[in-house]
Amino acid sequence: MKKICSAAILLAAFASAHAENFTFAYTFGDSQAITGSLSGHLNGDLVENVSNVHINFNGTDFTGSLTGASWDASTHNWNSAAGAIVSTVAGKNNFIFADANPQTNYNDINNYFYFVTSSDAKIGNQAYALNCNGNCTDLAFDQPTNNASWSLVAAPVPEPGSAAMLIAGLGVAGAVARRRRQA
Amino acid sequence: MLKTTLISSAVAGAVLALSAPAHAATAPVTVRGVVSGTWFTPPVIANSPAASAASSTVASVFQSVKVCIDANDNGVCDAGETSTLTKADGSFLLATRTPGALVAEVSATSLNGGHPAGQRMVLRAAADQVSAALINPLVPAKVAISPLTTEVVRLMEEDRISFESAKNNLAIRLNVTSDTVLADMTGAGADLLKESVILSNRFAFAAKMVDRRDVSPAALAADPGATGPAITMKEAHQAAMNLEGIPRYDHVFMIVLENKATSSIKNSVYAPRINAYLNAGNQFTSYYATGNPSEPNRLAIAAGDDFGITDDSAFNCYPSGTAAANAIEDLPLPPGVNACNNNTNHNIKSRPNLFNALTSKGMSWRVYSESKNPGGDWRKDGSADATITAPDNLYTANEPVGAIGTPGLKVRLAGALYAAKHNGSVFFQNVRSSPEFLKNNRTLGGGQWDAALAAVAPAGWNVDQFGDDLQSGDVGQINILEPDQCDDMHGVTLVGTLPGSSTTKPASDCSGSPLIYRGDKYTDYLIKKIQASPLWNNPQKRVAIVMMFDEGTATSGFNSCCGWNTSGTPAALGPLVRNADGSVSVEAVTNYKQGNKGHGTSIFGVLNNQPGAPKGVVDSDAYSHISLVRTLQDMFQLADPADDWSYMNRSKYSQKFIAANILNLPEYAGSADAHFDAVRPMNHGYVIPAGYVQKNGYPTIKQVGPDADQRNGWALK
Repeated sequence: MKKICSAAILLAAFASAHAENFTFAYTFGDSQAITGSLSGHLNGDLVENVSNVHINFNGTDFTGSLTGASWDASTHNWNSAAGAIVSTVAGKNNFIFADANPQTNYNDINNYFYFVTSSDAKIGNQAYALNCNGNCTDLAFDQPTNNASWSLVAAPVPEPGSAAMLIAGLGVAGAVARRRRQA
Repeated sequence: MLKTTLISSAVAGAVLALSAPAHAATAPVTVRGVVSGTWFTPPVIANSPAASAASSTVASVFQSVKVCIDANDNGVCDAGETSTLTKADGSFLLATRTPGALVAEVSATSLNGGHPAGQRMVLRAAADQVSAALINPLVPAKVAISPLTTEVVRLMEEDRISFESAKNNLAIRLNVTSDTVLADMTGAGADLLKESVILSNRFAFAAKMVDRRDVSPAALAADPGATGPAITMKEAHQAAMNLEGIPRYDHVFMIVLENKATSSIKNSVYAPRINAYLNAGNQFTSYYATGNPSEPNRLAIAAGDDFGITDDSAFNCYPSGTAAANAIEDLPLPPGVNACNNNTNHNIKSRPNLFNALTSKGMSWRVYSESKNPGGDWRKDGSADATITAPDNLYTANEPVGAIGTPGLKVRLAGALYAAKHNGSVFFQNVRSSPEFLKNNRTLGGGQWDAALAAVAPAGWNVDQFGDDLQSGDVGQINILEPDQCDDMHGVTLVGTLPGSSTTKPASDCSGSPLIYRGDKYTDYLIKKIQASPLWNNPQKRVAIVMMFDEGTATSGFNSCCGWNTSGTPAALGPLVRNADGSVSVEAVTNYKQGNKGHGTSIFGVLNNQPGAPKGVVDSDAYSHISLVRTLQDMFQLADPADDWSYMNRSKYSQKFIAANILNLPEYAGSADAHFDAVRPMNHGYVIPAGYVQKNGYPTIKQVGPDADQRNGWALK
């Protein structure tokens, strides 16, 4: 039992150390602001396996669990299976995050933010944020996108909690090993 | 394929949401757009050429305009409807779960291209326009709201047709793609900008009707005495296209012939074609001239008054000693025209007229004249030229005039075939001084001397500009067609010589009955030419042809009506004018009491290109040139029916106006027939009372009682 517990703690500490956290920000041309965070793995300038997305628009947090998708230039629709394409380079962004699947459940959406860079003439380079909880009065639109204002950076690591957990996990593992040897 | 289906159903779902009642599970729809139109700088109308300036129009965007989702589709932004204000670039962004049509309310505090908008106006875009612009439920639809998109909505409501049909119909009318109709005005061509100005004026007038709480037309239709409810914005958008029962036309071609009473034309064997057109179209059978001779009539056709002119003297004639007031300002005078004194001023200054009224509203006019000496001055009569000849017109024995004409006779170009007295634009100083005067006076082909004139014409002179303009569409809203003095049935001395002889011999057809037959044929030529044009055959353009005479020939009885008390006792005073301080005064016009004496009735026929329009209408109510001017002001929204003072010169003299101002109109105090003596638009709105005996009749039988039906001869449907 003790072995299982210590392994789980170790795994958690390991995993936490490798799921990088990021913060991002975007300011629309009219100065309305998006800030947020997400988790994923940075490969080059792209963030892979994006999860745990949180968005704040003009000081108000988006509600619901946010689902990612990207714009499919051939079908002129969102593709949730392809997932969001998020980059540290604004010109490579192609994502939407919404509180329901934007491809299939658009009727259930209350808030969303998209930043699309596409060769599709129907959409081109656009950023749009809408919080429709209430009167749909929080909204901002850019075309072209205000790329200079986009930032996506790794969150400060290691975070204090993660480091402590890693140290604790290593300590527990060391104690278990000593006990085994003593036994 | 699967994905395509998915998207289609997604957009379709959002499209459905645009027309379906709001419910919780609908995607929020976002519209991003621009409120776009035109900024029109009116012309400077002045007597001095130096002070005159042409108008200009540029595409514009509107700032600080309230844009809303018109959830209840009533044409206005109501409290609680999602709304926003347009930004400096005219753009707006709106999102809603209860989508619908869009309304843009231009207010007095809005800006149009950075200028104070000045006048309120409501512009609209159909819910279907938003749907069509929606590429995905979550991507904002890009939509322009403009006078053209507003016209699309208005057409949908007027004709109860789909968005697609209305959009396409407007595109056809304007010769552009339907996408262009829905786009913002940036980069629009001159014709589109012009249409935007015209529509803006109409929709601004609609807002004025709403703001002053005019009575609902529906209520008035049910009860002419209704005092409410007030007109709605949607009703006003329709009403603004139909003032005093006169619908908006795009173009009117007025063929003005000369000096023939009804009895000379109606059922005449010499005028078979005109009679056929009269019977195929609509007729106004009690149409009165306002004066005698031509010139006062031509002025009345152009401005609703003759200003006291009773002769055909040239434009530069005025009473001696009045140079300070009446001097010619568009100097120099044409070569060969000398200073002239006359008891009456013929250089009409500062008076409103149809020409400037049109240009002031972004529209245009043309006077097309036939057989003009190439390069000659429009202010001066044409000159005789024995070197310009054409074969005599030959007729066969089976024609009503018989076998007349002299083979080989070379008929000389006579003097005054182009007669300046027949060109109303010549007599207004502020028209002659405008940049449009030279541009809008153009040539009319089809004449006997066309080939000879073309042979001597300077480079760039087109003897038939009218023909080219019909093909290109570069015609005016009002086009006055002036045949030469043979083709208009006036008649001049026309002679020719045979080869080898210097003895002159009269031409076959510029006098007597052949003159009527000649004019009948030329009228037919013009009508066929117009009817073969792209304009006439564009089903979405509303085009009319008028056949009329400047005057009849009656010298006794009731020779004039409508804006004049024919009794002459007491003598008529000058026209009433309202001064800047609101006071009313009588303008002193020399010799005015002699004006508008009339010259009896003549035929007046209207053809239009709308297959669904009433045909065979016979309207026997009394009308005159002054009524025609009021009608044209309604047709082109040049005046406000609620304000008689807004009508030019004597065309303001409606029965209501006369009654309201009777203390200043002593000549009407003794009117025995208030309806006959007043002005009205030619809308057939008046039902002649049973037992009423008309003042004149054809041939001598005077109609008693009302017409067989009250259909409107100008109606388009």
